[in-house]
Amino acid sequence: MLIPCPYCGARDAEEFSYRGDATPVRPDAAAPDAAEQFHDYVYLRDNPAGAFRELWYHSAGCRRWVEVERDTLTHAITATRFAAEGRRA
Amino acid sequence: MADVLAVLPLGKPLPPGLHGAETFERVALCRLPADACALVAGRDRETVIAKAKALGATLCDGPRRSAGDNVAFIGTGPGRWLVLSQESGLFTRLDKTFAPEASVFAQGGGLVVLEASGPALPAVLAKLVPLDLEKFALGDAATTTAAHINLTLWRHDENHWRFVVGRSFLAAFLRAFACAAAEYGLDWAG
Repeated sequence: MLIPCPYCGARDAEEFSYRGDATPVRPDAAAPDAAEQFHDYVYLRDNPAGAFRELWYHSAGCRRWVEVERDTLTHAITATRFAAEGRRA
Repeated sequence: MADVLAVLPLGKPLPPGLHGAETFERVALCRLPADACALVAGRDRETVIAKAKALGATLCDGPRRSAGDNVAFIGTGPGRWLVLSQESGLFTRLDKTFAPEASVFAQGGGLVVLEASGPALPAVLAKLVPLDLEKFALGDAATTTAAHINLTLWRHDENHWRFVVGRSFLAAFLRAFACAAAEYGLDWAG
């Protein structure tokens, strides 16, 4: 599988480390149900068949975290961006 | 050559000389004396790029080689460059030019610069690195992996490619390179 890194261009997946789901957002620690929210944030993950937003770390390349939109059934990649940009968006 | 690698301890670099087949397509590999620093830009990347003009370089924030006055910048990541020079005092020169917008880290002791050439070099590289070399233009660079060894390489000119590998990985890289080049032959200058 080739992953289009925003800096390096299309690179083999062997250069990347898979870092999982990119969608969880850190909960508010001051919320009354913070413990429950943090449990879900840390432990619960979806395993969708189809479109998925995930993190890959380009460990053997530019050493940046890349957010990849990938179809888990076909491996077709529709978009990539640096993870920091995805968080800002 | 298989016999040389079979008896050579894994931590010892390949002895200089001809290795593998003896053909006219053989690949030449030599080590270049160079000092190296890493240049890491802070938030104001535009100023860092502008300041590079003082060293005669039009700095490209991408995986490319940008040459200056006896200095070369190789893009290794966004706002990060590996800087090479054959002159001494590179660290001081860079720190004076780029502070405080960028940080400089001396890397000369930990890196080795190699240069390869020869008609069969594209075929040898195709076995070593997971890159589409057909798309590599002159000056294009890549930080990638070869035989599980991280390296930065770039196409220096029409006939020469250069590599930067960690000093402690030199023996392993030479072994991998010699194996990839065995069918064409390798002339390792040491």
